[in-house]
Amino acid sequence: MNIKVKFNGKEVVTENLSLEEFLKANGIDPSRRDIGIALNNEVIPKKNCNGIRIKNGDSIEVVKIVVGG
Amino acid sequence: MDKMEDYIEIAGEKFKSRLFIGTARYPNVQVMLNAIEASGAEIVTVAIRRIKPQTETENILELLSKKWKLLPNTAGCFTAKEAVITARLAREILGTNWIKLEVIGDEETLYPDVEQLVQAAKELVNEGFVVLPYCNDDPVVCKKLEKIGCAAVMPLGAPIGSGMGILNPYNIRIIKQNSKVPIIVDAGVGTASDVCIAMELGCDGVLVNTAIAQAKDPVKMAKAIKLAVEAGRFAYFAGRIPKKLFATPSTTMGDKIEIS
Repeated sequence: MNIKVKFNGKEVVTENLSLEEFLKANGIDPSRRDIGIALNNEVIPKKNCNGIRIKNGDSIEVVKIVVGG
Repeated sequence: MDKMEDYIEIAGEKFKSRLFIGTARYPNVQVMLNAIEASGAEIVTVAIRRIKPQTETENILELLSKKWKLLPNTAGCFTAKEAVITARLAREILGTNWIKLEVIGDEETLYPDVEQLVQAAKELVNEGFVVLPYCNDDPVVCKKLEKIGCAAVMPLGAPIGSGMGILNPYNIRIIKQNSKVPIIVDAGVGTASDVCIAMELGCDGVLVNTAIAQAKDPVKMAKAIKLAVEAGRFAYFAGRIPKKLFATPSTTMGDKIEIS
């Protein structure tokens, strides 16, 4: 069954996946050192990604380190 | 002042260099790395942004983290909530509880939203963060941030990226004199002399990004600014003469010849 989630501000339709599967499906390697993940405004340690299932209405933010002042 | 013993201490950590470098807006990554190297800085700032898997470029973390202490910022945050979540994400990625806290109130001036800034600073200090807030050059606000428990306070010299220098040296002096935590001027520097002025006023450090990154030769400017930090620091300890309206001869007027 498909669900709707917000991924980095955009609404996307996805299968009912674990957070890790969702990231991989979106071309992101969850083991990358330079990324961070927040689910519904809560920071998720990367090692926990596999144990969390995303659900309809979730808001997922995936960020990385970039240059900045 | 013995130069070897002069260091800046923030939250119990000591650094020889009083110069903090921002990593944005360089012509390319190699110039950025060369400029940071030339600056002698030990701490460099980075930012947190949404990932775009299709347009991936270099891994900034890998490039910088081996050599320099990374200070993440909350640039672009407009609310305390955004800034707090960004700080937590930065802590998760970098394993550091240091955060350069920015909460912007206006896109045109990039001036801080003081109300949101103070709120975010309180929350982050309570969560155990070492908070370095970018703030207005307002002695009252700076004192408030210190009292909350911020590890250092970073008043602006002028708007971010404006290159206008230290617009209110009197306020910066007051802020420094009133403060028990390090004062690091953040934003507004245009060239080496601006940095020198900040240091002569007694500031503990300066954060520079655009003045180096957008200079015609960023590596040379980084070196110039490094020297300016040192020159300003020495001058501060040496103690400048007071300013006077009229001249005082440096060569004695006595015993000079007088021809009639």
